[in-house]
Amino acid sequence: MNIQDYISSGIVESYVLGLCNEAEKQELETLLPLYPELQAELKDTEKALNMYANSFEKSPNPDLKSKIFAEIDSLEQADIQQKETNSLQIKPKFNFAIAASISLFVLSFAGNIYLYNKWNKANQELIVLNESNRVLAENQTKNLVRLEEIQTQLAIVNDNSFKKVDLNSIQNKTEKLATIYWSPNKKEVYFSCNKLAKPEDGSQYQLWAIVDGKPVDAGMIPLELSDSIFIKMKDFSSAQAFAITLEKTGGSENPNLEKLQMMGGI
Amino acid sequence: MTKTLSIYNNEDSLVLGLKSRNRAAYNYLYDNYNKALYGVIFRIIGNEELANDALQESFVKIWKNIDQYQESKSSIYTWMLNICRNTAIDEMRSKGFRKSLQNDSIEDVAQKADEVNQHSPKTDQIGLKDLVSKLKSEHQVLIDKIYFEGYTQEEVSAEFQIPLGTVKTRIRAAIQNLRQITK
Repeated sequence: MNIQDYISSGIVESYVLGLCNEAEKQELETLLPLYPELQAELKDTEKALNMYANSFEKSPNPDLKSKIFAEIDSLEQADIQQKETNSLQIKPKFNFAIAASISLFVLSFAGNIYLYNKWNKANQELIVLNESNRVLAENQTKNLVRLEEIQTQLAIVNDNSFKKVDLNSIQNKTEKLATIYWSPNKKEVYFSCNKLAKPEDGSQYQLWAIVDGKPVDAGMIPLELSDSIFIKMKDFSSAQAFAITLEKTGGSENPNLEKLQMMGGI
Repeated sequence: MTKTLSIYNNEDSLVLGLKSRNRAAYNYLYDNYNKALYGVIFRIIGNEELANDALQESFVKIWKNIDQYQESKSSIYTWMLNICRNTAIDEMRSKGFRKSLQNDSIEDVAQKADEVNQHSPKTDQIGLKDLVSKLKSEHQVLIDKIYFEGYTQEEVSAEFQIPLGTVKTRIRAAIQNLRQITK
C-alpha cells in the first residue's frame, strides 16, 4: 500500500470528523500501528480541530459540577450492584461445562469396565473382545483429547478476559478468515482458523502482533489445520492489532508486508 | 486553557486515572476541560439551559464509557469532544432544529459566522476571531457544517453541490488550511 496516496485521499480528516463508514474506520485503525506517518497525520489533524474547538471556550453554570458528580455517585452505586449480579450469572455456564465433561468421562469409563468384566467371563471370546476393547480404548483416548480441547475452547470463549479479534482478508475486507482470542491479563493468544487457503509449497502463514507500532513474531500457523481447533500462539501482554503474512516455511524475522494476508485491530 | 499543576497533566496518567474511575482524575478533567467542552456544545445548541444539560449528559457518558476509549486511536481530548458533539447534535435533531438549519443557504451561514465573530464575548471567545478570521470562509462553513451540525459526506455533497467522490479531498483542503493557521 502507498501510504502517501492513502493519506492524501483525505481519509484521515474524515476519520477524525467521524465521517467514515465502519469498513473505512477499521482499515485505518489496523493500518495505524504499521505506519508512523499515518500516526503523525492523525495527530496533527486532531490538534488543529481541537484548537478550533478551543476557540469557542465558554463557562457553564457554576453549579453544574456538583450536579454531575452527584449523578456519577449514584451511577457508581448501581454499577457495583450490577457487577455482583453478573458474577453470579457466569458461574452456571462454567459448572455446566464441568458437569458435561465429567458425565462424558464417566460414561466412557463405565463402558470400559463393562468390557473388562465380560472379557474375564468369556475366555473363548477373548480375541474378539480384546480387539473391540482396544478400539474402544482408542476412541476413549481420542474422545478425551477432543473433550479437553472443547473444554479449553469453551473456557476461552466464556472467559471475559479474552478479546475476540476477527482477522479479515486484505483483498476482501468483509471476509473473516480467522479469529484471534487474546487475554491481555493471562497473556495467552489462541488462533482459530475460519477459512484459510492452503499455502503454496515452501511457504507458511506467520502471525504477528503489533506492539507499540512494531510487528513482533507471534508464531507460525501449522501447515496442517483442522478448522475447529484453537492453536496456542506466543504470549503477549500488550498488542494493538494482529496480522498474518505469508512467509517462507519456518517463518521470517521481519514480516513481508507485500504478502499481508489478513489483519484485525483490537 | 490554563492547566493546574497536577500528575494528570500527563495524558497517560490522566487516562489511567479515568479508567480506574479515580475521582481526582474526573475532578481534574472537569476543571480543565469544562469550558472547552461547554463551548463546543453551546456553539451547537445555542441555548444555555439545554447546553448545560447536554454537558452533564456528555460528562456522565465519558464516565460510563471510558473503558471503550483506546489511546492508540485518538487523544482523550478528541474522544471527549466527539462525545460532546454527538450528544449536542443528537439533542438538536431530536428537537427538529436540524431541518431549519439545513435550509440556510451557504451565504446565510457565512453571515451568521461573521456575526458570531463580531459579537463574541470578550473574555471567553477571545481566540475565536483571530483564528476564524484567518480561515477562508468557504473552509470555515464546510468545517462548521460537519463539526457543529453533524453533516454526513452525502449531505455535504448535496449542500455544496460537489460529487460524493471529491468530498473527502475537499474536507482535507479545509483542514489543511486550518492546520496552517493553527501551527
